[in-house]
Amino acid sequence: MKLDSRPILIYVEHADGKIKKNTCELICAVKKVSGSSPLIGLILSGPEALSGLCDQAKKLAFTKVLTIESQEFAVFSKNVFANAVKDAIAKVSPALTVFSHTANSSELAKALAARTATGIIPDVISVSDDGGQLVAERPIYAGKVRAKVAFTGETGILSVRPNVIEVDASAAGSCDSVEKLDVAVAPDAAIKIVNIIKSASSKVDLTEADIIVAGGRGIGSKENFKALEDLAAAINGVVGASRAAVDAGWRDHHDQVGQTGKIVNPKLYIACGISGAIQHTVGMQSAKCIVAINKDPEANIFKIADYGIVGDLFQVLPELTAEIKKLLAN
Amino acid sequence: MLKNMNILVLMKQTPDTESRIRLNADNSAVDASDLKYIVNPYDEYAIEEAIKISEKTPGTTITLVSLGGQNAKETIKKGLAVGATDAVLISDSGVDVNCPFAVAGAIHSSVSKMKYDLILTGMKAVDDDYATVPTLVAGLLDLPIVTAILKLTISPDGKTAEVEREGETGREVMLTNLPAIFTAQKGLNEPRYASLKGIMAAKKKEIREEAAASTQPKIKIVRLSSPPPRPSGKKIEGDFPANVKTLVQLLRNEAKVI
Repeated sequence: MKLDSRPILIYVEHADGKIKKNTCELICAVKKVSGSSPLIGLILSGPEALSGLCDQAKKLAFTKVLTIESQEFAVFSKNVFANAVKDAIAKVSPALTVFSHTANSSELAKALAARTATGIIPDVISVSDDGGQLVAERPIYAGKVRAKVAFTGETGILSVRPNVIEVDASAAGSCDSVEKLDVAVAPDAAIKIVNIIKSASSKVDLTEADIIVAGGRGIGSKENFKALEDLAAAINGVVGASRAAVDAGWRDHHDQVGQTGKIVNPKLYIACGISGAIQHTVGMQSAKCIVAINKDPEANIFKIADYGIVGDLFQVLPELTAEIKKLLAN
Repeated sequence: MLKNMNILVLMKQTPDTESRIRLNADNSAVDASDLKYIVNPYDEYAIEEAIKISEKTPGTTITLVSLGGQNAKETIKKGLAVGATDAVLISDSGVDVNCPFAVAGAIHSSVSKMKYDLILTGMKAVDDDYATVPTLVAGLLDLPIVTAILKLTISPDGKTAEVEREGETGREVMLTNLPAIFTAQKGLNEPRYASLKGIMAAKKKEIREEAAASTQPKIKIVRLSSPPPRPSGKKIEGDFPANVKTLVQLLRNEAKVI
């Protein structure tokens, strides 16, 4: 596929009235290839938040911002949202429609692909121009291999993995053109959301976390994870776990990092009592900085760690928490 | 009481998650020469859920549907050994397995001729990690789909299902009409092991083979590569607690991450 100056539609993700950082990541990802293609931001929102979101979008590098307003957008439904994005696509005929590969937006991207019979490349980590052809790179086999993938048709959908693309000044801009699309938004007839049981802690999803403190078999028990929780709280991080810790019942499955869990890209990953089986390391090896704490100096995890400490976790962790608290207090 | 459900389980053979993956000489494909294959781990949860339903629902059939080559029969047998009743192998010959649309088209051509009340599969396959084929199959069959479910309850009349999944803001409880497609997340159940009796019975079961309808691919792989290796780091010397102090200084001043 060649862009040929055709528009790129960027789905603007937002929460609590704020445009999320991953929207800037999408802009920076496509800016490398967009050439003269206009970047069109699409905001789906309820009426209360919309004007505030438009104000924020005007400061980004969009050529134009499209909005669709409906109370139906208060709760995420991939079908309702995909129908709305499909209407926006009919209006602007983009060559490419781009989403962040977050839990909700990746579902939305797939639902859109199914509805519009458009080729989709999910979970992309970079976009490039390969001899005039648009090519997206994505990890496969949980990151053991990378694949460069191209669309065979004239249109495509991408979802870009969050926390991977470096946000730079090219995300900022000034956009005066905001257009409200007048389309009917109907509730989902096929799937009814009966209830959403809010999690007790409003913690950041692992895939979007900047700092992760993860524990493995070496933690030894559910209760011992307290030392990791304390460290995570001190550095504004989130606790993750290896498959061994999840299978032992110490942590919930959605805390699992690895090939059969989540693939994460934090700034800092602190692996505690994790041996470093390939099943786990493929899920976290793209972290910017990896710290390993393990009592076994031969543990595999030290081979990929930037910094390693050989020692007793239950000595090292409280000390590390205290030292970081001291540092951050200054 | 609910009875005689027809459940389809879409399953895939994938390389063992413990395997190292090597590329062939010209980086066009994965070198399959010494790979060990398993049932895609997420599909195991789908198979287990189907078996759990069949235990409560007399007369239920569980048909495994897999797209693959002849060597996929080994892993299909594993699904039969734990309790599936039938199996269909759709030949992947002529199917561009690197495109979710081509795969979904092939599965659809086969499944659309079958009877089903419920279709289960894993939330993703651990090889290509697309996690997209089930949604496309649902689109082609015009069925509702809920992905990455953690709980499934079928209504006594078999017409609706309540499912739970972990959403961005909490645990989502959803109600949908059947037939529908649900994809299984880890946590849905604990897959059982095959009994010796099950393994023996599976050996005698026939795997029906079908040719696939060919669908034009919408994406293609240009080339594969191995990710750049991570430069090896350093172990921090020194005794406790001096080493922890050093670590904190390095994180602040060298790595600049705190």
